Amino acid sequence: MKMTRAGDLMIPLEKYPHMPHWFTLRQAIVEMENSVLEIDGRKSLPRVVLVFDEKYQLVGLLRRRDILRGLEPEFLTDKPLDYRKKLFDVKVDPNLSEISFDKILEGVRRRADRPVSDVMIPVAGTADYDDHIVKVVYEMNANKFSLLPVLKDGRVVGVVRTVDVFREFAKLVI
Amino acid sequence: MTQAGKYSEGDWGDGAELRTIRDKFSHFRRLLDHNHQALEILGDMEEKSQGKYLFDLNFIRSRLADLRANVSEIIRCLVTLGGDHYQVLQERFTLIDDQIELVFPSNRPIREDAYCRRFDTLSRMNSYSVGSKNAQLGEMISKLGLPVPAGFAITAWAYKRFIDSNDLQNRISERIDSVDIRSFYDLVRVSGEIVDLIRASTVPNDLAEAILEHARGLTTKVQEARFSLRSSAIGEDTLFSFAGQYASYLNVRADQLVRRYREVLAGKFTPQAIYYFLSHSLSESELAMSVGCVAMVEAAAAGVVYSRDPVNPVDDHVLVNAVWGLGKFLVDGTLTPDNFRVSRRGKLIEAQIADKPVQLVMDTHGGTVSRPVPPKLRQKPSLTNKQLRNLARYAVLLEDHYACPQDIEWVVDQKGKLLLLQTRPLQVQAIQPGTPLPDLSEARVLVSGGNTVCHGAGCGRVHHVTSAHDLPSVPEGSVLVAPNPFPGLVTVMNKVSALVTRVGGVASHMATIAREYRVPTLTGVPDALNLPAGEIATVDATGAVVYHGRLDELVQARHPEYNLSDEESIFDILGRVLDLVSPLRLLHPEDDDFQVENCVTLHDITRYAHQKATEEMFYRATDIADKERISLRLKTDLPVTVGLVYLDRGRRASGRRGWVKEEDLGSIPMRAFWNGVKQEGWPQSGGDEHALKLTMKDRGALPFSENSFAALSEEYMILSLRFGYHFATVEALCSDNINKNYINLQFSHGGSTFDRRARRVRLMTRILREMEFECRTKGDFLEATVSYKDAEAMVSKLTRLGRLTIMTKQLDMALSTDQVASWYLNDFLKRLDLVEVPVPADRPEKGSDR
Repeated sequence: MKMTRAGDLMIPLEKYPHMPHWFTLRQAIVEMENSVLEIDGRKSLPRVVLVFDEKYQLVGLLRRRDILRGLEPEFLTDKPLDYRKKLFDVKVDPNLSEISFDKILEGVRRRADRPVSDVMIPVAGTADYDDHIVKVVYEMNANKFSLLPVLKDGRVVGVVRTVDVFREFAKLVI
Repeated sequence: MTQAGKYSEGDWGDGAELRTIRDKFSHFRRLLDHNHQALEILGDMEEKSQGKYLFDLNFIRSRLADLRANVSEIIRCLVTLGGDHYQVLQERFTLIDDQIELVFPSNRPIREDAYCRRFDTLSRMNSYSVGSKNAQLGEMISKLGLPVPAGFAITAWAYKRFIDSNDLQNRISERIDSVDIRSFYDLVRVSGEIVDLIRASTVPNDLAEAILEHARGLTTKVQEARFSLRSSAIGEDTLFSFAGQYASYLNVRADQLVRRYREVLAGKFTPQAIYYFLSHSLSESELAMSVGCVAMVEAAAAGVVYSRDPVNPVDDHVLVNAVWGLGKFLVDGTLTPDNFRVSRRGKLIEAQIADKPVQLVMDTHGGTVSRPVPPKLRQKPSLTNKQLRNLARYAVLLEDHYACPQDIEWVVDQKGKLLLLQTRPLQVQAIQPGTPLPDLSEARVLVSGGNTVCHGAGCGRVHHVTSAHDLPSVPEGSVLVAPNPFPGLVTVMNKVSALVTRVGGVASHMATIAREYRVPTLTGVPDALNLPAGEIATVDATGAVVYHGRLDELVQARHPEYNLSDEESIFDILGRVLDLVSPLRLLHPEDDDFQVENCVTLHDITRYAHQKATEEMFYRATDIADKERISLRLKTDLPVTVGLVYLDRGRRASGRRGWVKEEDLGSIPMRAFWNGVKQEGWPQSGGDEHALKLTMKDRGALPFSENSFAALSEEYMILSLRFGYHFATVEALCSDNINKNYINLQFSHGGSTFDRRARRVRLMTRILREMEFECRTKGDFLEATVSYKDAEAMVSKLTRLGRLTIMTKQLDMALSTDQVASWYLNDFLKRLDLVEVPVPADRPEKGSDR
């Protein structure tokens, strides 16, 4: 079997959504909703947007749930997690039922103007362009990553996703 | 810069102290002008490299020449501004330039070799010595064991011996240099002179003896033997096809060999060959000539096999063209050949048998003669199924061996044995799948039928030619109609929009060149000569129909997508030139590696020079008086440094301690623009900077803005901004005189990929048009101008422009698709209170308005 490298599997950066860190959550949503990835004739929506600084250095990853977290109302986010959990434990929480929909909407719209750097997650792992597919799989499993940025000479040149790795293995097995 | 110079009228103060600044500023201005021109050229070259426009090597050469001239001027201006220590940039420039030159087929010195070399001692590694044609014949014998006639190559070293011993090089160069490439008569005149020169020269004895000795080695009965001599130019078939551009001689007796060798050398200078290499900006010294000498094969049939259909490469069939007799009548377009389509395993799929009234055969006294084909053979297939099977096998083998489709010449001798005469890469085209065609039901068909030689459609006025003598009068952009694809047609390839001939197949030499020049071409159209001269017609070469009138939509729809994978294609050259010209490696002036020695592209040099010139002009005053005046900076809470120079103020009026408050700007246009910038505000990450720093090891996120600067007077401003990677210059005059007022914006580059940068430029173009700007784009370069508006309108436009500048800062990064771009377009139009333009989400916008 020919050795497959991260570089063979990756989606090149020019095809993958990315944006500067000061862009807003609203702009990130536009990016996610309007970028269709077509790989080998199969279409999908990107689940992650890469976030760069002014010098085109990768500074973070933004997932859908990070965006949702960024849109959450303040009365939840400024409380500790165990409080929030408790809040939803009761059948009907008085706080929730009293909130007007308009008020929530207004808040969400306001929070959509927050910069993505507020909610993005740090880059905890990367793959090198020449990394063997097995190493890519190891990285993904060990750290529960579904997407790894691929570096070549220290610069991000693309991303490799679990689905791409999965397909490569599928070809071997089926 | 289009509006250059307007600022000077009446804006200057009289004080002597301003004179130094004025001088400096004029050098600086010149540098900016050249910088803009350089960026525009870069944009143009990058756009061409995307494969949608026609260009040739000449284009690359001439754009490169313009670029060099501008970069040289930039360096000169910088040296004038800042002093001799910037001469190192010139050295850097020379270094890069030398590398660029290496991309072109250059003055590679001719390597010493034997005068003659047998084919079976050659392989493709020898092409520098014996030319590609000979080298591939050697490769076929020595590496693949394919049947090739016995023969030898007379090397480039022999050519050099001939040229040197007769002192010809200079005499030829003088004549070539004097030629007017647009005049066919001039080409003919110079060609004649050079041919005479060569004919009057002597082949030195040692060379003549070497040729004869090798000829004797090919046969036992040398008296009766016949040879063919064919040119094999160095560089031929690699970069350019040169198909059929050089003479060859068939059926040559041994005692005529040396004289004919000299004729082949002379044949290098036919009018069409001179045209071809001048139009590709090659010089004759770059193309040494090797000649192949082959034991003549008495041909029963001959022709060409393509390992793939050049106009439909996915079809996977092998294409064979064949005629009776020698192959010349096929490749020069005299005859419409038999056309066979064979599967890769050799099964005959389709046969179109042509009427072949004549054949070219060997004359008993030497040379060739045209003879009628016996009536019973005229409409018979010129190849048997077995021969077709073998041809297909060879073709597939050669394609596999060279890893690209091949164009192979072959011959069948009187005993039915197949021999291969030449192989070379085949230029293939693919059409864009699924391009919707316009409704053609109303279009009037003038003629139809024929072979698609080069895909596409073109329209223009019908112009008939019958021979090379008619060629000088061919008008630009015409639809050219000829009885057959004669070789001289190559001299008008870059003028015509389409080509139609009455006879000819897909395999003539002209066809190869038509594909190279991408001229939509149909051959073998029975009624071609009935096309009405002077009428406008649209040739749909792909659909093999000629329509009446101009059908622009059809031309658009037929726009072919070319095969760009060809290893030595013109795109490849442009790509390699761009690698040394376009990428920006120097990024931030505060980076440690922002140094002359790190300039690796011409773009780096302009970037470096621009930065240093700005520093010299605005920040590095040479004396104390200058320093107080020149080192003014704008006091602002935005994270930008803006150096200011006043062209109409003495130093006392210029604010204290070198800082100018925003409210004291004292320039109408600058104040208006800056209001816009302030209104939009600097894009902030807002979050906690520490978090950012933690995300990337060893790299903190620095505020990223560079030194921008402005030269100002009360009514004038030139502002140069660098926000991120993009680069914008805004020049404006805002006075009571409507006729003098203007705003000029130039905008280019960015840190992202070309696609995204071009999307941003398209988006800005749309917005600027809404603001009444006239826009011109080239790739990712945008120039926009508005003039003749009153001061109030100018102020409002400048404020919007200020806002737009901030809005689009590094926006290119996010423009991953046209849909995303269209969302931003609508968002910006709304935010700028401009008319909302609905953009269909599924259609990309049209690019430039050129």
